Amino acid sequence: MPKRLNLPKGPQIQKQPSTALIPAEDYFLNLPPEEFPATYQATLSFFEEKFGNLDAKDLGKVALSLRQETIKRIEAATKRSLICYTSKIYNPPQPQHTSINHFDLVGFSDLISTISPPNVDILIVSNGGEVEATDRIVTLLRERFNHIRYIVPSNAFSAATLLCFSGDEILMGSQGTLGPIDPQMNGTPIQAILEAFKKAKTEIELGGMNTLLAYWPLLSKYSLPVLEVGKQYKNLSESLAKKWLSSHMLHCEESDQRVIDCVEFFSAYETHMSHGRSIAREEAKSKKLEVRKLEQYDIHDLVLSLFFQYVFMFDKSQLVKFFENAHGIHWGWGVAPPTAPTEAGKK
Amino acid sequence: MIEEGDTNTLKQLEHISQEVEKLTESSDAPLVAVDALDVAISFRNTSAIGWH
Repeated sequence: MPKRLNLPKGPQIQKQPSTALIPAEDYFLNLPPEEFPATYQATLSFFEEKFGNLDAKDLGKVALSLRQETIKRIEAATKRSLICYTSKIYNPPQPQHTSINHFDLVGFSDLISTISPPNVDILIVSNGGEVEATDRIVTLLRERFNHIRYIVPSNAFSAATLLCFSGDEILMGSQGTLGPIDPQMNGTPIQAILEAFKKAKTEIELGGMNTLLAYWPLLSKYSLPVLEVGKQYKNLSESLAKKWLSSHMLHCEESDQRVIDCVEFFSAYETHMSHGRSIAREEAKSKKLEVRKLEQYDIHDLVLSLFFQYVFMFDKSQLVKFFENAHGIHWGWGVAPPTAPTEAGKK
Repeated sequence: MIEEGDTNTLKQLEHISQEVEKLTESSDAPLVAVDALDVAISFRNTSAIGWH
């Protein structure tokens, strides 16, 4: 049992110069497991009470030290490397800033460059994003790792669900969720647009010119090429899902009924009725995905702690997306703070 | 209440309005890559989550 570290308690903290309280990088090395904050309230209290008098940059370094220690402990327990790809899922300033996109290739490339194959765990927190970028990320990961396990403590919606399909297993916490994979066009489900056109076509055929005139303002919003692109986009999403499930998770042919049923379920706009609908772990498991309950693993509390540490960081900083491992990579994308007006600008 | 000719208060209001405008504009601000060693975490930097 490591010697218990005598952490300063909030009310007992003496007012000292800020630098006196900045912990060293390994400050949390001997932190007892039960002292890792495992709820958001506990995370706020942990930082506010113990380190609330640090300036913002120093608090950022303390938060980094605690996350690094948390990741190292998870790795020690699993004997696998962990990479973390997280984004601000609550109240993002601009949803496109947090979405999975081609810029993420840089982050994933950094993350895996310091990790040895063949196994890796990926903690993912994301509301989704671009299917094409997801495809590139999967290619990048699968060229290096034979066994990939996704850890889902919270949101892994849409394209993030697709990403999870490319894993061998998914560990999901009780708050973890996957979501429908039907693609969107400017925030509208493509399937809904296609269905609406189908309905319009039928009604125009029945009602003639008067019905066409009634529908015209709606129809003119979309061009035929856009509709064709929409159809192909739906096909792309489904074909990638089939490919990854058959190759990596279910180890079978794409024509296997489990693959077909699973993709049909996750793509079914009419079943889920909303792209933001949660597909929790029991339902995901019933569709033959290799889903495991996170609480069956001894990393459960540490994973929750790490998740809430990320929520804390996103809530209290300008960051919107973050790439991190315990092997020297820890950076993210942040919203540039507004620049102070110049003297000329003031006049 | 603002009295007629109270230029001081009006100036202050104009300043506040400009600050609000800047904050609104910041959501359109470009993204920049930030190393975790340079991340500033502040309890004053509260978002609309509503915990604080």
